[in-house]
Amino acid sequence: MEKTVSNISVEAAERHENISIDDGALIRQCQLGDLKATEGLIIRYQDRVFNVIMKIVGNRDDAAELTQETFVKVIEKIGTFRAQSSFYTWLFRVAVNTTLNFCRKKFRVSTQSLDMPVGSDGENRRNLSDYLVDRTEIDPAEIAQKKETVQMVTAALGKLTEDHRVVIILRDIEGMSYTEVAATLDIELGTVRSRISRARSELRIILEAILK
Amino acid sequence: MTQHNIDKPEIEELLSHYIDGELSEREQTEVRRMAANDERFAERLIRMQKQKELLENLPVESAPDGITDVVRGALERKFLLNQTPAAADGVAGARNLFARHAMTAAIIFVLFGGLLYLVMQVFRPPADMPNVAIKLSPAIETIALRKRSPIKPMLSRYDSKVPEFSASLEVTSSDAITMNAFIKKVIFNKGLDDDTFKNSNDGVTNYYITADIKKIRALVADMSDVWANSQGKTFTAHGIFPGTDVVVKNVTAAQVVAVFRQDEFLDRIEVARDFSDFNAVVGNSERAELYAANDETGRMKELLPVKPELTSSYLPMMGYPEEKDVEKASLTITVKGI
Repeated sequence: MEKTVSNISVEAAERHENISIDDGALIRQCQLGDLKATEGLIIRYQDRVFNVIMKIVGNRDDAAELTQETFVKVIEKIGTFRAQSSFYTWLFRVAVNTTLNFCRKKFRVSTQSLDMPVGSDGENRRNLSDYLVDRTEIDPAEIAQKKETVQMVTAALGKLTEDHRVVIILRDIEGMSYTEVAATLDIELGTVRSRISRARSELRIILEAILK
Repeated sequence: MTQHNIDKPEIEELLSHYIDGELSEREQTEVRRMAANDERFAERLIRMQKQKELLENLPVESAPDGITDVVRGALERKFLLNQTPAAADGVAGARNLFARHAMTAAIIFVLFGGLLYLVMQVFRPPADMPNVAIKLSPAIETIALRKRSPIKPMLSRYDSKVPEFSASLEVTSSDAITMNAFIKKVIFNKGLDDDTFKNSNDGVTNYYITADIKKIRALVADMSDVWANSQGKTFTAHGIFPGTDVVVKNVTAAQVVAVFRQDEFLDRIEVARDFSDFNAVVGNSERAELYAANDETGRMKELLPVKPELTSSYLPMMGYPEEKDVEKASLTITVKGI
């Protein structure tokens, strides 16, 4: 079935709802010191947390360390976790804060140039460019999975400002709703809406420059 | 053919909300109409949608193997170095420990309740409190600096843990947005982001903070701007048993800090009660005059009619508290707009 805007949102909502139903039981066990439950919680979220952090920092080694640090912090504080908040947004808040603190301390401003990433050839650039302006029928999953596409998009994300990069990663890559993004970043819903819009606009301009 | 300025932020935002399904039916219809009548608008909409789909379909990077082992190792190291609560034992050990703690807590609560009742009976001010004159003489001792009687809680022979102190602070403000922004900033500056859970509903925002009591003291001490921008401030020190909470209306920043500065749970309750009675007696303008007469720079002074000190015969000293680990406390800050 062709993915439309509405059923992508429904899939994301269903995925989140199914996870949150089981989280409560795992968290209770973690709070009682159940090692298996702790491991289960980490395994459940480690890929998604790593993916988000990786997209923010752009470096695999740093992302691995920050992922570990995130889970250490979360497990340490799991005893104080309250049901008034969603574990999911709390986990990602810790992940994002940990990552941004790291970036600020290390002054990790992306220095990737807008020149073509090494290994990208003209054909991939044309394919991506044609896809973005709807001049091709290629499936988005097919083009997104290409290594060169990932390199170009990651380079473009790295050129966004920090605020814009984080919201667009949480919204379009992790699939959070506006409300979840607001809770994770502890900002107002209106701020999320305007920031996502500006982030998408900024990304569009950067991608156009890369693909020229 | 209509031409819209598609680079305007409002247009970009409209398209962004459309592809996220955040528009009403009427607004969606309007966007479709604009796209049908403006080629550039339609192109920009498609471009934005394609870009979003591209990001959604990017492959998920898998975390490297062994993260659970590394996390467990880090937690075990912290535990061995006594840096983290011992919550990483096996299931049987943790359950046993939990049961022991629950029994110990129950015993301590019962004993504290009895002790608190005794203290209340001896030191509760008389009903005609409003008639007591307040003197600005050196004979009046400050609440925070007054030597607290060393009431020692009865200790279980199993554990010397006291209940975690918790309190609430409710502020009402005509500028809740600024109030919330300030509180968030202070929480961040004090490194309490990870210790804070927040929720908002119907114009009421709650911040649930559980952390080292010293950090909470520092947080409160840094919140003097909250008082300047709020119209109502109510502090509640939560007692051990239901119905034993102490509510301090029109509380000042200095009073809240003074409560948290006490070393013992019961002292905090008692100080809060003193402030509650004091604030009920002395109006805001009178308090302002009293404060103006005192040196407020860096000192948390409050004034209250002199009360008799506890003597040793009232102290059911059953033992001495062992050296404390880091003491945790909870503070719930509620911001209400008016």
